[in-house]
Amino acid sequence: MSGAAGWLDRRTGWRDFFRRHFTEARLPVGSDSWLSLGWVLVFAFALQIATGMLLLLYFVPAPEQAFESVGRIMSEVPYGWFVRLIHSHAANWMVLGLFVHLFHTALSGSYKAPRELTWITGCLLLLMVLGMALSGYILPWSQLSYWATTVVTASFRYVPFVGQELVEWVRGGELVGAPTFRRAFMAHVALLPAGLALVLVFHLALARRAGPAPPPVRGRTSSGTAPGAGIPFHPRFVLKHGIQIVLFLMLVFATVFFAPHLFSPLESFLAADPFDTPPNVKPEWYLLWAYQLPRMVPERLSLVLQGVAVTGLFALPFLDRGPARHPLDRPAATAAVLLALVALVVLTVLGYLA
Amino acid sequence: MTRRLHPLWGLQLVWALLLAAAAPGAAQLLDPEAESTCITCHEQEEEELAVPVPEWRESVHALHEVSCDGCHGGDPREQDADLSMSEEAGFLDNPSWTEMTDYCGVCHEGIAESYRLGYLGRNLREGVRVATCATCHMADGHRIVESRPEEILTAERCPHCLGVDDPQSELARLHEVRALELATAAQVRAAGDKGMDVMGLDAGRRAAHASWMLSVHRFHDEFIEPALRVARAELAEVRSTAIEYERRADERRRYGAVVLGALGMLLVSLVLMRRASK
Repeated sequence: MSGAAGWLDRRTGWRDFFRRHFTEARLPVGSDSWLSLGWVLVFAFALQIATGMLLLLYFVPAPEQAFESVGRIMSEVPYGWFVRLIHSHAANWMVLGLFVHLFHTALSGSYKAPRELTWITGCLLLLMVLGMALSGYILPWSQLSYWATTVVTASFRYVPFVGQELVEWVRGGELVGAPTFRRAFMAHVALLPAGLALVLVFHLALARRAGPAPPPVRGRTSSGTAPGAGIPFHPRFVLKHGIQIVLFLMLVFATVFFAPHLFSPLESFLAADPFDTPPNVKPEWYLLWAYQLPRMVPERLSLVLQGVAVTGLFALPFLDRGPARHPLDRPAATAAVLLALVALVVLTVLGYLA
Repeated sequence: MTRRLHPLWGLQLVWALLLAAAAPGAAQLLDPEAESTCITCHEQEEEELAVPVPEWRESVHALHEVSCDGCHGGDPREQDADLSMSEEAGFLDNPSWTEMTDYCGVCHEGIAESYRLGYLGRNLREGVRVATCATCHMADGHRIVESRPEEILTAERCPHCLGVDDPQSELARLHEVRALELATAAQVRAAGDKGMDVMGLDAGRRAAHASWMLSVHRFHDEFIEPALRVARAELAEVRSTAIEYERRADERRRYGAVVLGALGMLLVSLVLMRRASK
């Protein structure tokens, strides 16, 4: 081994790392396409970082100029519209992909020992991605940004004892304004991406250490695969992941080019105006369930329910501790996950129609 | 095979059941109309008093949620008709023709001011019975439509009342600018339908409309012709930008088709490579 690659290898051992994790890695027999979804999400995250950095070249992070700078990106900066639409559309599809990944993992029982920590870091990633989406929402400083942030931050007042203080801490004052914008910008471009990258590396390392869970088989409790057995990762799964990543890109580009307003209601084209409350302000589709719940039950109860839901999500591996993984072998867990899924979909649809 | 069920499952089940039980409640949305006693009572009255309700439902006021009390005052939540239409509740009733401009001008401030400063406003102050807001805009009762000069300013409706030398040729010029405005609106809509951000263009079109409408309500040659000249120029600029936007939108779609086609070919190649690797 010689040359620059050899020099680097003697110091980092990258060839061995590459061999162990890619060219000579093996996956359980019967592994299906669901495995690729995680890699699609990693790709989507990388795409967000790349397009986000490009947008930072032209975005002006000040409330007085943010809306105008976004307008400039969309109409004057060469291919600015393309980069911004990819950033916003891929973010929405990524959130949808995360929900699908979460429910597939829950229904296939892949969170069970020894993968509890992988599940917990995955749930943490979901919350951080929602935080990313929410903080990114405010940055264009449109009517939608301003009022949806007002609605979302106002919901913190129902936290017992410290509710009002929490609202003011998040907003940086009594009302949504310049301090809120600066907090969101810091969270969106520094705090959350750094945290996300860190947790993502941990999540992937845990997933690699335990290996992917084989597809659940009725009546069997297998949760791993013997070393050396299984299907070679390269080229079979490299191609499989590649196919799904291309499909994801096609989905993003199809909406970017042919349905550019899919995720942009009318209010997102108007500059923020604290003195003009638009009717029917709603958060993005992935938070509609949280928007709809307090409209149907008392607000404090809705906060308790959301707390229970999030706690239950993180605690799932410790609630369903039996060895069985097939959905039909653990009907109580499957029913609860399906009920949660139905509740999420119903609340989202009702929130959309409200 | 043993299965252990943790007690916390019960809590999760309660959560899910509560959600499911609460769902039907969402269908009971409040109907804003049902809250107005003006509407519920007048609908049951004799023809003359009932007819404003269906007319109002088709009006621009209903579209923008300006209900009866928005113009006539009163308390639309009061069940008793006398109390609802009492002086204490701020009931205004119908204005006389001399009060009309002040009455509508509460909301339509700019137009009312323009009217007062113009030919008809001056005549009104001198006690001449001239056309006021309702003469043109309520010719169809409470079915007040959005500002549509082509329907309001017709040769049949206003052959005499304009303070201009040649009302018919003035109408023709107004209609020509209006046609340009409609064509511009259609062009802006076409660009918007293809995914372009046309809020700025639409705002420009609306500003041009508001500007020449203000001048037109002065009803005098001195104001109308310059206003029409400016409106023509502004609308032409908005229209040409909208045409450029639509061209860009079409171009983007063509790029999109090429990009998707390339990705499709990459996809097919990957699928074939995967089959070959089996």
